[in-house]
Amino acid sequence: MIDEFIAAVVADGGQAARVSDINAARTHVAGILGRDATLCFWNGDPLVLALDPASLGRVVAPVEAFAGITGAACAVAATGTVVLTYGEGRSRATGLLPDLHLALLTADQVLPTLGEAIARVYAGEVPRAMTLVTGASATSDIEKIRVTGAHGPRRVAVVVIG
Amino acid sequence: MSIVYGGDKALGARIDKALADTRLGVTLQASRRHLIGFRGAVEERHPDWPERVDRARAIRSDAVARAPELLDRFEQQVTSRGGRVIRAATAGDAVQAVIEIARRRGAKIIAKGKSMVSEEIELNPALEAAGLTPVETDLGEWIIQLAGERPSHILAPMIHRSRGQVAEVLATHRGGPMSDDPQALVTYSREQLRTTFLEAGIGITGANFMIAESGTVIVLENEGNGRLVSSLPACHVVLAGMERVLETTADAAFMVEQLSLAAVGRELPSYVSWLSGPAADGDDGPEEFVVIVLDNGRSRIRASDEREILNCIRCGACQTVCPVYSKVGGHAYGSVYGGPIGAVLTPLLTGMQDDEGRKLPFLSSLCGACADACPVGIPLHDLLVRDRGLANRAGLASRGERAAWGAWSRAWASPRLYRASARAGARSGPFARAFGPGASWLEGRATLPLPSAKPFHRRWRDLESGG
Repeated sequence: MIDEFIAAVVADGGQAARVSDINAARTHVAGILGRDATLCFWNGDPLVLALDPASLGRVVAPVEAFAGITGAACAVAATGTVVLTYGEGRSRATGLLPDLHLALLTADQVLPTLGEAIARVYAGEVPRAMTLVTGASATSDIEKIRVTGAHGPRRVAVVVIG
Repeated sequence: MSIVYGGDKALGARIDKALADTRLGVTLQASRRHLIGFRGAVEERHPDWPERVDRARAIRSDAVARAPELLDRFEQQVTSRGGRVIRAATAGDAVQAVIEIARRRGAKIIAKGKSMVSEEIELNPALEAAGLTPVETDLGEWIIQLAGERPSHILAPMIHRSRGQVAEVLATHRGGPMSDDPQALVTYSREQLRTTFLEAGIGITGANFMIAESGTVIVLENEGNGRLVSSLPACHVVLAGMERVLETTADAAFMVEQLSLAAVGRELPSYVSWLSGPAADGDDGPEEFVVIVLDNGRSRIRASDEREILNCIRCGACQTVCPVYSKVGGHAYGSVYGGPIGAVLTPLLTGMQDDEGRKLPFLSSLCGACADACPVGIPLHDLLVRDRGLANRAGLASRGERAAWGAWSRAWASPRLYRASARAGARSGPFARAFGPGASWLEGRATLPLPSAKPFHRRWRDLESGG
């Protein structure tokens, strides 16, 4: 199922990788960010904090950041979708304003279908906001030609741990 | 009536203008081929497509039938989390509600995501008249706003413009030359609108669906402007047609996919936002969350025999496949809602006494391509016929014309009178051709043969008797 998820993310034009543990994730993310990246991150997400994101670049506000690192509520294998919910330390701007959205999740968060993902998130208290992210920001408004990098992130990279 | 804006110019003149625009025809045909192509791929990936359509139809019919009860539950849920629901009976009520919110908050710039309801209630001119600055942020809607036009397609508002014509608009905006490379045009728009998102006091979006059991508004989009206008401004206002309610989150999960498959051929668009109230503590979302639920004639349609049109989820597929729409485009209809959905819905919203609206159901060959393309199985061609009847009875057809067709209908229901008319037709053929009421229709149909002197039913009888 993880393979299906990764294939779906790539089919949507995104990047996706499966790594064994948080240290491997840090190495992988460092490779994506390159040197001297500006970034922002979810400081209320244990998985993101375990990555020690402050060691991977210069931390700035989301509006100035090149990369935004988020966790996820869960993910959908069939469509390559990352499900975000927000709250204290899980800002909406992080995965929205930067050019690159980097989402970190664990293998057990990947569910087969959208229906199962929605059922899981809505089983508890109704979230004030939830976003299903499937690929990068895009538009086909000009002659039906698909162009990425409209108003949201130009690129999406997903890292699955475990 | 605000839904029909073409009243200043006759329908026929608008159609002639559209037909003379050959580039428009090429663009629309390309778009039609694109949709037909991805629909084929969707049906291959989902061999159960007919069952999906049946399920979607059942979900929508049930929700529309129970709309008042479901909207009450929706309102209760939204209110329980500190949000607000405003019921707007008319377009004017909805516009007034938005202006009041802006005045109270002291907001000046209003960032807008895509909303057909906003077009229906003519929100932008009203906001401007009130001294406010609405800015469309969907790329197509922004270009159209800059060009002073109306959207010509539900989903692809500037489908009538080529990339060169988009570049012209942005060159004027920039005050300098503009490449017609789509990537360059998108990048320029991204840079220009970033500050709007950050400065806006209010963000407005439409709603693809409302969920009764959770009090959730769902917004589908690809660009990210919907996420931005619903996240960054301190106040998020949702404009929703009252019929767009669903009962459960499970229904919504299915319908979101169904809408996306029909509209763009993908299981999901880039972003689907599920919004259920103002931000909680420590969340950087809007502090105020208001959903304006618009009636504007929908309750009247719900009580009529044409209620199934309210099942529509605004995917735009019927417009794209329609042979009439793909010749004349959306502006020729002169309605916010063009194509088959608009031809059915517009006169039902305006009422059949509206002179312009009631002409629209006649812009169809009744080929049924629209109904085949509909992801919720609305029998659009049947509704077109029903609308035509309503329009004629409301006065579109003269009394004489209605009496003549009524007599014809009764005559041909009787075998004896049918045969008599066939005999008369065969004898008077050349005369009727030149002078009859169908003479102008027959013009240019030079090869149409005259009725045979020996009608088929008589020849059949002779054949049977061994002749």
